[in-house]
Amino acid sequence: MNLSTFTQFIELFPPGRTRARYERLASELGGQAINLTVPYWDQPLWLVGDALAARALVIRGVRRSQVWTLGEVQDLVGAFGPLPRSLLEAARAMGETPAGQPNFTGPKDD
Amino acid sequence: MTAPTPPDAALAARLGQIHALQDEVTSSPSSHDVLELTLATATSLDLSMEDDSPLLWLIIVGPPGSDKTQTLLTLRGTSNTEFLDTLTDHAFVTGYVNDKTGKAAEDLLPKLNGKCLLIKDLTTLFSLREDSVKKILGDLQSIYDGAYAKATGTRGVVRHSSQFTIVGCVTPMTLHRHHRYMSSIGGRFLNYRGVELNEAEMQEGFELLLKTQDRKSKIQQLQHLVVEHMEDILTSPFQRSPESAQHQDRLRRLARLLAQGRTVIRSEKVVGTYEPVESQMEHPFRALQQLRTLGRALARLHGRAAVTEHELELVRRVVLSSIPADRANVLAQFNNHPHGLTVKTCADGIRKSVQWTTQLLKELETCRLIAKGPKTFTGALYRPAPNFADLIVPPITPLDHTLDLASVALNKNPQWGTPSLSDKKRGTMGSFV
Repeated sequence: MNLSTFTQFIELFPPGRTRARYERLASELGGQAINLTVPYWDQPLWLVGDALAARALVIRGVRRSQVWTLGEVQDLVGAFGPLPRSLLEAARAMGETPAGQPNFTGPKDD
Repeated sequence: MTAPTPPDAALAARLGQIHALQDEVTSSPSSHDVLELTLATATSLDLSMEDDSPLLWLIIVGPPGSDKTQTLLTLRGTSNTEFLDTLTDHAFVTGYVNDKTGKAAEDLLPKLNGKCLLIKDLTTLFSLREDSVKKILGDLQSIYDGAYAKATGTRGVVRHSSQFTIVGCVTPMTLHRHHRYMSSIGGRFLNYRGVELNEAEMQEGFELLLKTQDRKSKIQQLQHLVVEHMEDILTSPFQRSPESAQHQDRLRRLARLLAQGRTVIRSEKVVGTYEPVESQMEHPFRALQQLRTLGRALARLHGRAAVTEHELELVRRVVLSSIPADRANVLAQFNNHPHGLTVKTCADGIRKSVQWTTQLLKELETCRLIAKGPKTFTGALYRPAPNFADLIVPPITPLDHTLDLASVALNKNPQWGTPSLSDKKRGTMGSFV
């Protein structure tokens, strides 16, 4: 797994229009975002503060399913309760709702 | 499960650099799409030949002064391109023989084999006499299908077999005026139509032209990087991974959307209104192969082994652009009305008469791209066909091409970050600076 901050991304660019554009985006993202890549998945994930920050990336062409807000991550992790020791345990924890549905909602494409 | 082929960080970083430089010379978001599509088409020949699939011929459609030519010119200087200002009716094979030397003039067709033909202005071609236009398009059709023979009075029968890709530019009005000719060869060409600039982008464009001091040197740097990028792609091996089942499904549906959207319809006046009376729908197989090649060529351009959402979004734009403009305009109305459109809403959106809009909606129904739904108090509601809704409804907004490359350029994962031999050859990686 590889984590990079949005600041590191901005620093890849020399001063100019692209860099200025990303500096503006950084302020829309509330100052920061994390770019996360995992092996075996060709798409990066973006971790952002809230839904507004997620929207800022989506209007630039990033798919909503690639953007996770902290709230969504907390929902997912919170659904497990104590950290599960097996996938079966995780599946049970996520299904323990009256409707038998997972009690968290991840990001969805519009 | 085998590990996926790592993205080529050097290619991704250079492409990021190209986009950043392009940002310094144009404010048009579509220019970035055009550059990627042109580069992909120009480097796609080996991918088509790999499985003997149809070649990529792409037309960039944009109003005069919209950067089409400028973008195309960035490829000038690459070893596998042939530049032409326009085409004339004897462009490919000539019957001319020099009376004094007895030598025949050199034909263009064999020179194009294995290359990409870049045509700066197809508008001039369409301004020729009708029979000349028909002749050139007929020649192109034969060439596309693999063999071309021409009987000349001076040289006898001249035969050539030449495979090449094409990128040409044309204005929307010219293409619209000649869509009848194009529909005869239409299935062979893909189009890309840029989005109109908004006011902010227009103002940024003025600023760039009036205030940038070193524009010429930036354009030269951009050309230099584009040439380097293309040469690298053409000379490096491409380790391709197969498309995922999900992406294959999307490509299949995109091909059907394209084939159905290009259905040729003959309408007749029936009791005061035009009704579709006959239709001819192409099979989606050629489109599927072309779109798959385009996706793969775009992936390689980004240093990727397989298509991702980014490439598929560009392919979607090409598909929507390749549907006749009137029909595509109606489909674009679903961007703001995803749950359905009445004739009146649609007519207001495309700024055409109710009668004309009704006919277009009927055509799209015949193409099976939309379906007439329940009647509301304002009229019947037309909806996108369910299997195409996710391809039709999302609006075309500017794509951020550098943001898309962020993860590859930033990747320091040892598994992906170790410079390959070609990375070492190319020098630093992972930086757009």
